[in-house]
Amino acid sequence: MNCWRCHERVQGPVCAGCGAIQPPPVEPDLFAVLGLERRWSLEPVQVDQAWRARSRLVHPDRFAGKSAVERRMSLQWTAAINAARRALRDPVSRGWYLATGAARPREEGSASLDPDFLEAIFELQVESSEDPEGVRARAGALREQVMGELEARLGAWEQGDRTAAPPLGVEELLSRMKYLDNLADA
Amino acid sequence: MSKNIGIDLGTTHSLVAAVIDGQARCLLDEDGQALVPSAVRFEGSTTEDSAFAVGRPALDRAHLDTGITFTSFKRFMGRSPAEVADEARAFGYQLEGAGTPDGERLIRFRHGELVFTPVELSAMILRELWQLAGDVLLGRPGGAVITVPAYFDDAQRQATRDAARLAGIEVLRLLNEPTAAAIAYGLQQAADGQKVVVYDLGGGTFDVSILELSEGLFQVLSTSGDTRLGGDDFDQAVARSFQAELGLDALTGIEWRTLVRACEAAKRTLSQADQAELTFELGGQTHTLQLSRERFDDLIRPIVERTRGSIERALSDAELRPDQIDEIVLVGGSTRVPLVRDFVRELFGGKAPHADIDPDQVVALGAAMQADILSGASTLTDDLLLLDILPLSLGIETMGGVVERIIPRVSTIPATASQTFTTHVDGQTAVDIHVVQGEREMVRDNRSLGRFRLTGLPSMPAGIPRIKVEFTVDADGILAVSASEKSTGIQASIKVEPSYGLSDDEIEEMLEEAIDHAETDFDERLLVEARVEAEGVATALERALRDDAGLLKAEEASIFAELLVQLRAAMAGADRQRIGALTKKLDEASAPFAQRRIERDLGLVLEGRSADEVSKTLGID
Repeated sequence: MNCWRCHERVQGPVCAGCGAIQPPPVEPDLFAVLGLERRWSLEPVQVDQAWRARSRLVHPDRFAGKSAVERRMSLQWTAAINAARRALRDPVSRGWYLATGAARPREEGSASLDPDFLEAIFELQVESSEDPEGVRARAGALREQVMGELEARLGAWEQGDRTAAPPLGVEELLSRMKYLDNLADA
Repeated sequence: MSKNIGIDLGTTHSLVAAVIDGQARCLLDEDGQALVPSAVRFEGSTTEDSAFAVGRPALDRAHLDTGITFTSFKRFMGRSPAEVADEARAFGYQLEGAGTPDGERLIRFRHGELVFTPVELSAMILRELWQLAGDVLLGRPGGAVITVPAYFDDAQRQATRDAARLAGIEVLRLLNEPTAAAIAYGLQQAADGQKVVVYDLGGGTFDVSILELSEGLFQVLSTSGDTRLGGDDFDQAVARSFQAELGLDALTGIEWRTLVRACEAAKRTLSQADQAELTFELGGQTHTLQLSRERFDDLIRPIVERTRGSIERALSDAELRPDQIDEIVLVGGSTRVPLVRDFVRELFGGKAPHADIDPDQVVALGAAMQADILSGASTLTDDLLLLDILPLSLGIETMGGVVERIIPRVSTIPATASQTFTTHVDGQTAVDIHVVQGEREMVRDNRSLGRFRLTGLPSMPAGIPRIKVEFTVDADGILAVSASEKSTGIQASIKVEPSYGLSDDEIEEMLEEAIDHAETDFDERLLVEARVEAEGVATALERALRDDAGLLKAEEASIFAELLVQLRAAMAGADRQRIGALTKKLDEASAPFAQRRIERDLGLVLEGRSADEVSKTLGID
């Protein structure tokens, strides 16, 4: 892409030549917004580092004295990188984004869950008033199991064509994680 | 180039500072004082006779009952009359129009024929500081960074911005007070992940904040405090003790104030000495008393102890233990008291607090440093970037008075969220969106920020329209809302009705009235500069309108036409501030259009992009 102001080639949110901020991407890929490769295995600190580096480039404080259109695009960019960081920092919500193409909603997910799994959850919920410690431990163990499964599937996906849709079942595994997180935190 | 300044707009006093020769300094008035009391006095009570004084002269005459002296009006900024009724009574302020719709929305103090809002009073302080800065710096400042408490919500921040606008000051950024103090100490250079406690004990308020620093980024993790706790309580406690000792039962108001003032002087002495002598006259009799540090400490200990609960709350909100705190910063004149320092040190396991910088000045100095950095030509550092968080969640009212959270607290700002609404009745063409701020489930338990009324929706059966509403919180923590109907792409227009505080029209009205007070020291060169800048913006827009009329929205065309006429008319005159204000307004109004042109040139245009939407903020655009 070329810079809208100086027409030089530009990579990233700000033109290296003239310092003009570029329009935020249309239909953004959250990884691209942070300048990250599209992948599941990332440490939170890697996401934070990418977010910080981008913040330094696009934050409104960097455009305090500039024209209104630049300040406007700086605000849009910064809001976009903040949202991307929120969606990608945690492995479960990052997996959710890879699997569904949307940031993980704050409300309960809609993926249909295996009845056996739901029954197990229900039992754990019932027992949690009598034996909270035991239930937490069992939920924790189940969580590890699901996490291992997720890692296997997403890890394999990551080795192959990353532009392909992630493997089936990931969305359901992520929904399971949410239930187990709730139990483990209770 | 004109210099940017930092302003600490405080409850009891305010300061202005700037970076001069690479060093942040507070700017001193003719008497060599940095502290400007946040006080405004009106001598008369009629509209013809409205002589006023600002700062120390206002305070010096506060005991005379011929007029009225307003103090502590920061406590009333951005709040609702219902919330502050008790407080107004305690300060002896008469609230105007209780029971009327305007009286429920706007805090107005009445004195005789005169009526004032806290925003106007704050604007008078800001104007005083702005003029002081202009006198000291020998030229009009460029813009200002103004500090606000970290817990200030949207309405309180908006009120502060409104005050600056009334004072004719360009706000570069609203900065959290504890963050400013940390900047003054250069703590941004600290290692990654450092946790800082800022303990701010002023004359009448106590705030504690916990910040996290990493690579030049500041984040407020939590904040707590007590709005009725401060050094004034120390003076009162000592005065009550002496009153009992001397058997002075019935003191008049003036006698009591005399005693309190003597105790305050003794308190100051005891910050350096172990013993203080008080001399004062009461009823024609001169009293001389001794106050030992020990007795003073015993008297104030219960008051200092009251800060403990707030600190514990802040720590628990940040999920930290006292031993995980790396740095402690003291702010506020009352932290000069040795007992306060010892108390803080003991609380954090013997760690010595930062106290080298004058605790009255530290916030203003930090604001000045940030103002300097925002000029883009700072010699201090250019690697400092402040990232703030939203202190309270933003939500909207849904069925049954339940809050749906749209941007959760502690989100890094700027932040956006969008929500799709629909209609409940066939042919409905308007939708009301009630925005609240707070953490509670029910609307009535949160603070109402305002109502956005979307009108001009296409007439469709109920449930069919898909109205996408986008909420944007800017870097100062202030909310803006924009909306469009998705299936038809029709732009809904938004009318904002703030729940509390001044509407945009009211601010405009006050600005028009304020023209009488406009600066008389106007400078031919600045006027020429303002005209040149205005010409640049106007010509660029006129050219764009000719070239790209097709990218224009219907409502934009009429807005631009009107603003261009107004600007051209202003340019023919000599009111530099009006030219500047209209230039800025036109630049901002046309920014979405400018962005669409850029995106069209780059081949990025898509239907229904957010850039196509008209944006309007609560209260001010």
